[in-house]
Amino acid sequence: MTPPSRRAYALEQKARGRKVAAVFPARYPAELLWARDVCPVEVWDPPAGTQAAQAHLQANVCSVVHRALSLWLSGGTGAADFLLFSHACDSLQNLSTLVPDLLGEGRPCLFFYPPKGRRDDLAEGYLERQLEALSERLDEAAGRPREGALERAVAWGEARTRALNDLYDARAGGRLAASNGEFYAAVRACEYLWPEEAVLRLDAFRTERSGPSASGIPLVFSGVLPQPAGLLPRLDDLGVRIAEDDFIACGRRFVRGSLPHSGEPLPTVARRFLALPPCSTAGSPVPDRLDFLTRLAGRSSARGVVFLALKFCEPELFDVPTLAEGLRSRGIPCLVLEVEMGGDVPAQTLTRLEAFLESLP
Amino acid sequence: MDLYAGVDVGSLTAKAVILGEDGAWAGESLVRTSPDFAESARRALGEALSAAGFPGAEPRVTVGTGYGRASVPGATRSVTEITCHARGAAALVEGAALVVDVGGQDSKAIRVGPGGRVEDFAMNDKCAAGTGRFLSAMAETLHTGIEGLGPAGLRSRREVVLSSTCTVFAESEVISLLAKGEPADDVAHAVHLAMARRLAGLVRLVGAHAPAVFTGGGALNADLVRCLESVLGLRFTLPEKPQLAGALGAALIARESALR
Amino acid sequence: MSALARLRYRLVKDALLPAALALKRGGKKSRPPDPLFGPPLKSTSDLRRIMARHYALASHAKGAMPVAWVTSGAPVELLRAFGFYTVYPENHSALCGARKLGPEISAEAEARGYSQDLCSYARVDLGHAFSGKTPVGSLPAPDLLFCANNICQTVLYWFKALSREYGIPLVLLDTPYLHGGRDEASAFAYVEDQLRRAVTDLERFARKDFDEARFLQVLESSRRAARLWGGVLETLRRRPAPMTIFDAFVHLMPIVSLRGLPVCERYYEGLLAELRDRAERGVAAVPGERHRLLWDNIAIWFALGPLARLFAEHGAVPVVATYTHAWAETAHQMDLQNPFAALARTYGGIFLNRDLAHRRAFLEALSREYAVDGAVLHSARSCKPYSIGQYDLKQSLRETPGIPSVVLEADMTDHRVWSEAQARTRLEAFFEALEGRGIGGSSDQGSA
Repeated sequence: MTPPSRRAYALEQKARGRKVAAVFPARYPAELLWARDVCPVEVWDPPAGTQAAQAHLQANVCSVVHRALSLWLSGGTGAADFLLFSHACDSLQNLSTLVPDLLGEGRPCLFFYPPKGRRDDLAEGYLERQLEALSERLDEAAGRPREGALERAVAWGEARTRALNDLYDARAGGRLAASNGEFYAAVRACEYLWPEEAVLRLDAFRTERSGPSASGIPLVFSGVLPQPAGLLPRLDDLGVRIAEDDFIACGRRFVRGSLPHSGEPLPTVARRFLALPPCSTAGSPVPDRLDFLTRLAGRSSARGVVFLALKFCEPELFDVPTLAEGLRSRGIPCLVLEVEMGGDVPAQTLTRLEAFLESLP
Repeated sequence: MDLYAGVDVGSLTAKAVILGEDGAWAGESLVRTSPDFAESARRALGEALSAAGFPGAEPRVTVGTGYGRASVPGATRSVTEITCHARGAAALVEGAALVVDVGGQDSKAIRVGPGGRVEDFAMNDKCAAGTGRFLSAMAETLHTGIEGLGPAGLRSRREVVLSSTCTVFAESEVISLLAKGEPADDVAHAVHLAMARRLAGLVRLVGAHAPAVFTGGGALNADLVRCLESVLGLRFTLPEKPQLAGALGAALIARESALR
Repeated sequence: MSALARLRYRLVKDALLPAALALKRGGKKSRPPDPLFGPPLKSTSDLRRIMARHYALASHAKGAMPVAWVTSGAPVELLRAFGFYTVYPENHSALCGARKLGPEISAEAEARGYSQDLCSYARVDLGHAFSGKTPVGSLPAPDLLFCANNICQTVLYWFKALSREYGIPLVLLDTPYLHGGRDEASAFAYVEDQLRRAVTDLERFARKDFDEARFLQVLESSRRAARLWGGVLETLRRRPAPMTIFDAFVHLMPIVSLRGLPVCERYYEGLLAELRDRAERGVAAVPGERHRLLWDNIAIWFALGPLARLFAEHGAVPVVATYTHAWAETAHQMDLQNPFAALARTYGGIFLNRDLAHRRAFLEALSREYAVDGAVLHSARSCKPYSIGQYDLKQSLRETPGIPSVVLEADMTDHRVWSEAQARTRLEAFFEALEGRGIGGSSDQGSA
């Protein structure tokens, strides 16, 4: 049961009377949108090429931003009623102002600034105020939520988190018979499916594919997202099984384990947001990321960690040297692969990967 | 007699090494790569078998390596050139701990453990900076020919600075140096120094350890080797046929896999 | 902190250095006059002495007082109130760039796996941290790091790396990016809360109570310095301009590194007096001034001299820059009645922390105030927040206020990505187009 395309899905949602928001990376409180009957459709690696954006962006800007702008320029976000930009890095920050302020986007553009590098009471307080401010903007763009809608949305968020945890547990435990490509097709549908549907599909996928995983070399992958697209089938060919991941778009998007609660819905959203796995875009301390990766490797019996370092992605590229060094000193082999988005995997990248596999003890 | 073959299909040349039953070196070849990788591999293997005195023979095991490793006809398996260069270099130089390989398409620094095992490695970026291709482009701009670049650099009397190793930038820099009247020999040396700094960056990623071995076509450029030695403060051992290290490693792996 | 180290620091600062620097001044040979440029600024020799003293003292500060490494957008006034010796890695990286050491030092960071695509200021600084390489003798290792992400997020990643390398605490001021004015109040309140929290952290770290009177003194000094610096820049409105922005890039160092200290104020008092005098007497920085230009983004440190020459050859004078204005833009408004709120507004509201609509208006205002004919937009490979959007700013500036501009792809410190020949061609074509405009060419020509 392949999920529909984002564009088709967005139109279908609109036909059902929902509003649609185009959401740019990385982290945002989806619950606030769901509560207002808005379906967020995330823009990570649209098949928009990078041509159109070249007149607006320097060549040394990452392909997430190039593709996002190309998509927007080519009318690919046309179905959206409004745009939501979350502050993830300098490049996405500038994209968020370029589009409305210099390129003339007329639809509402909403901004969300998650606190960086701090997790204290001040950060939590500011996050709550940001959620309130975003709620106000959403009220203007999509109307106020109906009675009990926010509580319902919070519950959907919890259900989706549980479904993702169950699926990741099954994979890490070797109890999921799915190719790398099938797994990520299922997980990445969360980037746009309405939460209730996402949960149904995730659970169905896990039940259908329940069974021993294909034998192969279990590895943890880290990075922004599983790109280039041709990598996943190549990994299947090479006998590599991604057993856990720390992709911003996947394994870092949900709270591992149980979710924090706080009587009121908005503070609950805030606390859950802060409980997300450590991330470069949030300015998380690297030791936290190191512990997280070590835990992922341990629970999935992985034999090593592969970093897909997306070319020009500053937040990730800054953390990788210390992470790699730290993992090696803990006896976990790792490989840093510089990657760009696209179809097939460059021969040189494959050579590195194969040489790494050959060198595993 | 059982023969074991390693075929290394690079972007510029294809190499083959044949080992006899006892693991002794029996023959080798080096041919230019044509756009048809499979054909190049077949030609290299055929010539090596002839050189070994077994024209038309069928090796018991053939291992393909290099850029075109998947296109070696009749290969039992393919192994990356990183693993193969480490194995080959360790066989050529006792206790080799570091291998720097400068090939046509890629440059790499490999830290080698006991028995020629790869402990860590680093490769150049996707661009041609610091590879044989970069040297070819520079040789063309300087009109020395690829073989003449090393001797030209060795003749240099004065140090000039080339800041870029980007093929495009460096080319315009080289042209403007020549336009300023800098002698071609000095510019050739500057090219090698710039490239050596780039290679040193790769080496530092894996750690500079002795004994160090320089393999690949780049090892034939004496000025480049000298520059890298001075940048790193490390002596390199040069195998007699540095370009064959990868093919030798592949042949050793071929023999090993048959005996296991 | 040891008493002996403190004593040695005072001795060096008050007795040895002044004597050594006086000797050095005596020995300085004067260069023959260059017909392209007006007479050199006399203040430059003071600047050299101040900066030499700053870096010379730095090596004696360790142990005598706590040493903090800070970002250029950090509220240094707070640290000064606690008696920290402050080091600006960005300034140090710029200096390494100017000495053309960028690639050599950053190679040390690249060898540790830091990609060549990362900010070159950060790579140079990390390379220095890993290897000790520096052209200034030695920098004191930090006891504390203080980082504000108002200029970019990069500093956060970079200072996290420093914090791990030295195993020391990092104090972070998280300054939310401002889209329009709507969320300003809540962002500034968050910044203000963090500043108050920082005081508690610093009290614990320095084992010293916060001295509010001292803090106010420092703030007052900082505000005066910002006003003086603003005055310095304003003299460039005069035609001909008494100095160029390339000079200002160099004379910027005290306001970046020494603001809040008396030496900084004294320096700018002298510079301002000299420039006012030059302006009154009609002394031109470039006698053949024909085109007045705006510069956007950080300086190209390694090419400052050749660029100044190339511009002067064509009568092109950069008279204003967003970069140099950054330190005059907000700090002069500080309200000392309410110091923490003032500091939050000043540091949270700098132009790099505001949207591109604000940047556009800022560019337009500067263009009018300084009567420029064109703009040079340095697209710095290292600096994404400053550079992304420039291609469209260029289009927008052409529409209003109708000025042509050229984009120069370069970097602050990494000259490996720089092609002098390419830059020369591009700039010369731009200057030729400006000439064309002067004699009635179309307004589009300049947009090389």
